[in-house]
This record gives sequence, structure tokens and C-alpha cells, in this order.
Amino acid sequence: MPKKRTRTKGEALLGFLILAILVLIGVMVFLQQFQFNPAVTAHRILEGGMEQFSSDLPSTLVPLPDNFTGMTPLESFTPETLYEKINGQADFYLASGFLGLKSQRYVHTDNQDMWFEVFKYDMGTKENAFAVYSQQYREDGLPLQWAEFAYYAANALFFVHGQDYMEMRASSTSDDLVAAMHEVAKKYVASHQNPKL
Amino acid sequence: MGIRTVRRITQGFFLLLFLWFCAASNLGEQWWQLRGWPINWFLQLDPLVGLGTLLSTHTLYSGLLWGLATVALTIILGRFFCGWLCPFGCIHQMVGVLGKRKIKIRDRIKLNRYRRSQGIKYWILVFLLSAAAGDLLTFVINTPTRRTTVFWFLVICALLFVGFKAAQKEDVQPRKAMIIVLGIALLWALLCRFADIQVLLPVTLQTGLLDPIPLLYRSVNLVILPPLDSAGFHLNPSERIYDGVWTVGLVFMTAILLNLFVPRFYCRFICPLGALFGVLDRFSIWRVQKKDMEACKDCRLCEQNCEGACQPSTQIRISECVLCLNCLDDCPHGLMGYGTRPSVTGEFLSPDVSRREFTVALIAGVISVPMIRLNGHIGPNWNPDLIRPPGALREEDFLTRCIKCGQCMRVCPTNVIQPAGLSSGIEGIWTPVLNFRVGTSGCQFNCIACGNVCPTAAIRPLSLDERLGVNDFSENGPIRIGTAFVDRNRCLPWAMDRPCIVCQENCPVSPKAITTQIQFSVIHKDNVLTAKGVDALEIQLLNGGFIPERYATGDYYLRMDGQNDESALQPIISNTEDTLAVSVSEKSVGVLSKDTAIDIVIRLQKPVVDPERCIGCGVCQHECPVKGKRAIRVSAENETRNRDHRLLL
Amino acid sequence: MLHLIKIQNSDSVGRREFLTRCTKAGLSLTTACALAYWFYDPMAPSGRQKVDVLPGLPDYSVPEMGNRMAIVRGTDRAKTIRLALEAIGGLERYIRPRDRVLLKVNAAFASPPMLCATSHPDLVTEIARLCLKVGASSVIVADNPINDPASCFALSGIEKAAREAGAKVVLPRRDSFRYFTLEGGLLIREWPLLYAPLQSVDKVIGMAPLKDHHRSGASMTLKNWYGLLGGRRNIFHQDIHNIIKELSMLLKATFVVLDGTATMMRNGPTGGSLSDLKETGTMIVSTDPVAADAYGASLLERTLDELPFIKKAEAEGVGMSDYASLNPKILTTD
Repeated sequence: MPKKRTRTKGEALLGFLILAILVLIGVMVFLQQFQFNPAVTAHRILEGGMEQFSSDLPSTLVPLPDNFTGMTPLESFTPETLYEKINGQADFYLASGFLGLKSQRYVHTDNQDMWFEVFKYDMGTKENAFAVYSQQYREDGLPLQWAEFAYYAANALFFVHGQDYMEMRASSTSDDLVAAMHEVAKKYVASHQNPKL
Repeated sequence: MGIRTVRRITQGFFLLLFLWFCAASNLGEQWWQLRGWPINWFLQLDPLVGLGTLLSTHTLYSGLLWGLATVALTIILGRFFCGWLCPFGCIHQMVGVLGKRKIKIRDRIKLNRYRRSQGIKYWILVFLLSAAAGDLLTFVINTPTRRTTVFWFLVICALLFVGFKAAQKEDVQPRKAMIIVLGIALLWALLCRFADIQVLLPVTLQTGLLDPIPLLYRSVNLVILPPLDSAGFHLNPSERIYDGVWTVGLVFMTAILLNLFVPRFYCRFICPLGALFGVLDRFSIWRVQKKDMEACKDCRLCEQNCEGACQPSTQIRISECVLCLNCLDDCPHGLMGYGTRPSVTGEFLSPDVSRREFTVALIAGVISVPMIRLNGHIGPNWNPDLIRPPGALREEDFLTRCIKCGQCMRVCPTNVIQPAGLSSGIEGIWTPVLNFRVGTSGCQFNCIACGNVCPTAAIRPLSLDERLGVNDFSENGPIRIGTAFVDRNRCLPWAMDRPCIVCQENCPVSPKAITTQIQFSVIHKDNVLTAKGVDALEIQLLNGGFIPERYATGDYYLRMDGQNDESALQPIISNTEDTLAVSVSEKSVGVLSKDTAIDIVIRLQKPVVDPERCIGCGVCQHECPVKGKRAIRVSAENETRNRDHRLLL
Repeated sequence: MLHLIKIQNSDSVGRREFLTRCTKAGLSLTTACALAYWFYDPMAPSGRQKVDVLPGLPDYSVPEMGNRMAIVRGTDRAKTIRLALEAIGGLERYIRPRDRVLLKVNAAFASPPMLCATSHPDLVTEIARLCLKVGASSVIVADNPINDPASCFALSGIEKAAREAGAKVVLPRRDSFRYFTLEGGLLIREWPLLYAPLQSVDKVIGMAPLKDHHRSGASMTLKNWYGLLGGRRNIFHQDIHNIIKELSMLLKATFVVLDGTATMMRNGPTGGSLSDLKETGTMIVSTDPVAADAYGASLLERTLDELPFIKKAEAEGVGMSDYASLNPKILTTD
């Protein structure tokens, strides 16, 4: 049967427009899936052992040397509350599958000016943790050996531990403080030998 | 690329996207799991979900706003949703193509002729919406008492209108018309003065029964995917079971197979969503049109693949056209187009439904709800076996929102959420209910998945804090979905003197909602055992006949006659057919002499539920080793969602 | 409903049709958007049930009469009640002309009058008659019984008695209840109470038979207010003394009548046998329900320690358990 209808330019254009919309929808859906459903986050907490909801919280995030003590209570942040802690930078972590942040500050028992803060970002997977690690890598960083991915820059330590991306920031670059911080990090890695992957 | 190809691509895209959403609806953060996939998007785009809940709850919940986009596009473009987006429509169309194979063109044209019975879908739409519109009707009927000014205004308007008509036309009798108007006004006023309309017209949302999007979600979630899970695709880690789901399957299968007789059978005759679009698209700016009458040879080839059966060859029925645009290519003379001008052969704009049909459907819908409610399942006759998921609203509110889409049942990690049969009345069919016999455990007490995927908040989205009653919610306590009751006639320790307490061990609440009472029971009551010889810690018995090691479980104790003192009990550590060995203790068995009467006593921990702590999660019921009718069972007593069901002060 | 567009030939007609259609589509679109905007609700419902809660009831007492109590011996209820009412100052000083009066009887069970599980019809008749005699505009009789309301009022003889005296029985209906929260209360919180009869009256007279009660120890004038509770009130059996206390704080009656003509000594509150009854031949009328109950306890041969609700109500300032301090008038009809 002969087809008499000739296709106009308009029709082709409309077709492409529609296909473009489909691509757009696909992209939107893809982007949307990074915004985790609260159920998924809760599920993660469930697998993480309900720490947040049990009364016997570990008092510190990391093993401390004798001359350091907790300066602030251990704080927890969810994807909904992350911005309270790190403001605009939250989006960066959220886009990489962020699940939870725990942070705490530790201070030297004799010197109130010597303190450091630990940030433990639970990124869900090792890949996600590496993604935020690599994207923030400082060019001037000194690679460290005690973990697969770790470096030191200025006053801070950065490393990947299992599905966690860890940051430790010191209040100054004083050698004692930095050395203490390194010790803490090494001990932490050593004492958490089987991180969740 | 022709527009028809684009349409096929679009349909395929949306069908795959839909299937992907269903497949990804399992709890987890892998790319193929729930993550943040907008799995409810199709439900949200479905304006019948939005309209239905708008009528029944006076709110348009969150994501349902997407429905507005669909409505807007339908008003402008026509029923694009049916022909381009609807995944159910896509399936119908594909199966319909199979059905059309080897059928002559003449017969195809006949298959796609317009049928009067295509009006049935409008009846269904009106019926379902009027069942959800009780509140709206109450609002209207209560006008004379609640909004007296409006009422008088309306009466005066009506009288003026009648007068105006009478002045215009000779054949209207003004007196008769006035009497009719006043009579109606009087009846109206009396009705709302002396009847409690609110009680008279309850509301139920039943659009989900036939609304294609919830229907397809439900069918795919509960019928299609579970066998795939079992067959090794393992989208879900465990085998999925859904109680009574054959009814869902039957509806689905019927809808699909009917396409082999008439293409798009469901869309043409049943689909209430299509009907809604058919009402909305009467003013559409663009529409399918015949462009030239003279060149048309009336061959009707344009109808050979017409999906909507909208008779494009003659007066096209705009309300039936699903924009498949097949007629554009099928017309050998290129006469069909899609544009802003009406068809040259004329158009039918409105659905083919008579006023009488409309009224009958409306009245049937309005009446059916109070009729269903007569069995009192919302009130005193509530069913204690109806355990709704945590966060479910009070039953009457729940039934104004649930669209039976099965998303909660699919996402539930333990498979404990099941489609209800008739446990919440006929209106509750396929709504979520917990069945602790099924699934991998009870309702996980720190899971909030069901409420966070519910598209209509029939199960509201709880935070973990609210579910557990901590932090901001510590005053409210945890969400309870029921209370466990020990059936002491079936429980092993209570009824049969056997140690067990599986329920107590599994109770996830902290501190545990199941505690135990320790009691000692004498075994061998009737034949008192007598010591034959005592050798250190081992006692020879005259009359043994034990099963070796039967009493070596640590639960059994030896008691010398007469001594009722608990501290005098000696734990048995092993036994043979006729000896019992006890563990070393300060009170040596040396005091035992020959011929002493001996009892064997079991130490039982008997489970007791603390109703103040129990949240009804059903883990105990699921784990209870009395597998038939469980010895500990949850019923909806004390559920948080209804204060009238509370058990304790 | 069929709507057929005529075939258009001329361009101007076509254009006009198109413009009309666009306008209509635009209007539909606007309506849809407006509706969606209006009803849009980004939040899920909270799950809390919203109820309208009333804070308390009016005070039905007559303060200027002070605390008065009368104890009258005799077996004829009509005679004893008349004498008792005179002794507390005369009914006309409590019921003003055109007052609307509620008799809160005990009609809890569908049992015959002779078993004394419910208020006695003779007493209902007499009090209703007297109220109307002193000028009350209407007398209504109400309770929220445990058994089926209609049969309770019928079988207890109260309905007939009320009708004969010109009073009206008001049966509880679904819409007769309102939610109440007692300030400082722990139990009466957003709880439904039989409000419709209370709402429409100026004076309330509590009428209670003197009975044993298995759960609370005794059912007298304070326990009588339990009959106003709606909803699933039997969960209050978990804390019976405190609910009686809270009810006594909520409702201040004009006066109470405790009918101890025959006392149900055991198997209360239903009784069921004449052998459960003891002829105690006493009618108590008091503006202080605590005092009335304290005296009733002695007829029931119970100590106040066995009936904690009396002391609890007293501690809340509802009345005095030391009834002697009211100087009750003790009279006899014989």
C-alpha cells in the first residue's frame, strides 16, 4: 500500500524534541536516585548496629592517647541534617551516596589550644568513599603508608577506611599535635581491621 | 523518523522505566536497589490517584502534584498518557498486536469500530469517584444549616432563573416551577436539619481497584516479580509469598488476555483513568483530524490500527482517541493529521454517556459506601487480626488513602506485609496487612520502609525516631501495631512442661517486652522414683526407664522427697536409662539414702508479655515453634493508630 | 450530553471556534492549577486523632445552701425522700422555677427494681414529681447504661416511673458524647462523656442505690458518675479509685440522693438475688457526696480504708468523709 503522507520537517523536529525529553527524564531519574529514600538510610543505620539509638554509645570515635580527652560530645548527622554541620559542602557528599557523619573534637589535657576534630563520613561503599577522597585530594598532600588511601596536608589527615571517608583536622600545625593525630589514625585503622566494605 | 516510531520508542521507554522501578523496589543501596529511585513516579503522574485522594481527604499529598502536569498536558494535547506513557497501555497494545495477526484488514477495521459499551468506563469512573466524594456531598448537603446565606442565595437565584425562563418562554408554568424549586429547597433543608449527613455518607477510596497504574504496580509487584525472585534473579534476597494473590493475578491475566479478542480491551471499556482523560480532553488544542473531505474515499483504512476505537473516518470521538497516531500513516491518501483545527467530518467531544447512566453510577457509588460500612468493621466490629503496617493511619482515614498499589508489600524486607483479603471488609481488599506466618521474620522494629514508599501516606512516612519513640518522640513512645498474647493452652512451657522461650529470646524490644516467670514442675508425678544406690554423685534408681541424656539439658533437677525448698534442688547433668548424675554442690547427695523417694523437676521459664512495652512487631509469633496456630499471637489491641483500641490506661 | 461540532467551512468560523476552545482549555487549566495549589499538602498527616476537647462542666451546686445532709429512717421511699428534702432546707431552695433538672440515675443494668441494682422507680417518680411541683420547667432522666440502654430503662422501671411523673428519659446516642480533659487529671484526658443531657440543664441530682461493687468496693453516689463515661470506659477498671476521684472533681451536683432503703450487701454491682439485699431502711440526701458515701459505707459494713476513693475524693477537696461534722439531721418517718 503506497504511503501518500509525506513527513514534514515539523514532524521530525517534534520527534527529536520528544526523544530529547525522554533523555532528560532519564537523566532526572538517574540524578534522583542519589537522593536516598529515608528508608534506605534507616536500613543502613539498622545494619550499622543501632548505635545511635542505644544508650551504651562508645564515648569516643577513635582510640585516644592518655593526654587527650573528648572536648565535645560525639555528634551524628544524617543526610537530612548534614548541612547543619558542613553547610553547602553537604551537597558534595550527598551526591556521592552519603549516609551518615559522626564527628567529635578532642583536646590535649594540658593545653586547651591543642585540639583536633575527627570526621567520619559513612559513604555506604568503598567506591563512594574513594570518590569523595579523590575529588578532594590536595596536590600538596604527603601520601601516607599505613592505609591504602591516605595523605597529610597542611594541618589535616585524610584517608579512606572501608566505606568510611575520614578527616582529622588539627587546630595548629604544631609537631606534637600532628604526631598525636597520626598516632590516633594509625591506631584507629589497626583496631578496626575488618571495615565494612 | 516517523512520529509512530517515536511513539513506540516512548512507550517502550516508559514501560522499561516502570519495570525498572518495580524491580528496584527492594530495600538497599546498591544501584539495583531502592536507593533514591523515584519508584512512585508513575503513581504520582496518575491524576486519578491525586483526584481520588483529593476528594476523599481534601489534600493533595506531596508527590501527587505530578498529576497536575498530566492533567495540564491532557487538557492541551489530548489523551497522550494512554497512547504514549501508560505502561499498562503499552502492554495492551503489544498483546493487541499479537491478537491482530492474520486478521484481514476488513475485519481489523471492524474490530476497531466504536462501540456504545465504551461508555462503561465512564460509569466506572463516576462510581469510584462518587464513593470517594462523601465529604464533598456532605459539604453540599449541609449548606442550609452551615451556610444559610449561601442557601438562600441559591434559592433566590433558582427562583429568578425560573422567572426569567417563564418570561422568555410561553410553555413554562411559573407557579408549578416555583413550587418545584421551593419543594426541593424545603426537602434539602429538612434533610440536613434532621439527618447527620456526616454519618450517613462515609468515604472510601476504591479507584485503585481498576486504576491502571496501581493495578499494574500491584500485579507486577505481587504476581510477576515474586516468581522471578524465586527463579534465581534474586532481586529480593528471599523467596516472596503473597497470600491470596491469585485474585490480583486473575484480574491482571484477564485484562491482558482480552486484548486477543479486542485490542486495548481494558483501555476502551474498563479503564477509569482513560475515562478521566476522556472528560478532560474535550477542549484540547491539538487533536487528530481529517483534513480534507473531498479526497477521502471512505475506505476506513485509517481505522485498521486505531487503538482507541474513536472512528477517525467519520465523526471522530475525541474522548476515545488515545493519540496512537496510527491513522496518520494508515491513511493511503495522507488525509489524517494532528493539528489545531477540528476534523472536517466533525467531532464528538463529550463521552457517550447519557444523563441517566451518569446518575445511576453516581447514586450507586454514593449508596454503596454506607452499605459496605453497615457491617461495622470501622466501628465496634473491628477486626483484631487486621494488623496494619507501622504508621498506617486510623482505619477510616487509611481507607480514604490506600490505593492498593502493593508498593509497601514489595519493599517490605521481611515479606510480612501481605495483601488483605476481606479482613477489612470488601473495601479493604488488597490493602496491606501483616501476616506473621509469612515472611522471614516479623515486622523489623527499626525499619521504616513501607511508610516511606507509600505514595498517598495511607502509611505515613515515619522517621526512625518516631517509630522507636526516641529523641523528639520520647514522650509518645514507640509506634505500636498491636500486642502479643501468650496462648497458655498452646505454649510449650505453660501447657506442656517443656522448656522453650524462643519468643522471649527473639523479642527485639529493649528492654524486652517478653519476660519470664520461673516455675518448677514435677515430671514423673505418678510413679515416684526410688533410689537404689547412691554412688558419689550418681544415683542408681530402682525404676528408671528414662531416655538416655533426656534430662541432661540443664533444665532438669532432682528433688528429694518432701523437700519443697528450691535451694534443695540438684541440677541433673546426665542420665542413663536408670541412673541420674547431679552436679557438685554444697548439699551433697550423700544425704540421700537408699529407698529415698526422688522427683525429677523441670525448671520452666514461662513467657509473659508486658503490654506496656510490646509494640506488636510479631517477631515472637513468627518464631514460635508451635508452627500451626502459634502459641503467641499478635492482635491489633493497643495499636497506636486508634486510641479507641487502647488496652491500658 | 452528545455534543457535535458542525462542520466548518469558513475560516472565520474556524478561528472563532479555535479561540473559544483555547479559552475553555485555559480556564480548565487554571481551575486545575488552582485546585492543586489550594489543596496541596507537602506533609503527611500526623497520625494524631484530632478531637474537640472541653475543659470542664458547669458547677450545678447551690453554694448559698452550704453543706447539708439528712439521714432519714423509713421504708417508704416517697416518704423518706420528702422528709429528707425538707430537712436539707426544702427542695424549692435548690430548684428554682423554670430550672431544667437532670436526674442522673443508675440504670446500669436491665434488671427488675426489686433487685435494687438500679435506681428505684418509686424514688424517681417522687423526686421528678417534687421538682416539677417546685416549678422546674423540665426534668430529664439519663444514664449511659452498661447493657442495652432502652432495655435498661424499660426493665428497671425507670422509664415508666419518669413518664408517670412527667419527666423524660434521654437515651444516650452516638452524638450525645463530647470529649473532656480534666485539668490536673491523669485519666480523664480527651475522654468522651455523656454531655448532651448535662448541656441542656441547670441542676443535676445524682441518684444512686447503695450497692456492693466488686471492683471498687462500693457503688454509691461518687461511683454513680461513672455512668457518664463513654468510650471504652471499662479500661478504667485498671484504676477504679482514681477514675471515681477524677469524676467527682469534674462534676459538682446540686445534691445527691443515696438510697439505702435496701442495700445490696454482696455480689454487686449486679446482685441478682433478693438474698443479696439487706433491709437497711435509710435515705440519705446530701450536698456533699463524699459525706453521703462515707455514711453509706457504714450501712454496707465497710471501713473507709476498704473504699480508697472516698479518701481520695476528700483529699481533692470534693467533700468531707467525716459526715458528722456536717451535723446531719437524723429523722425517721415511722
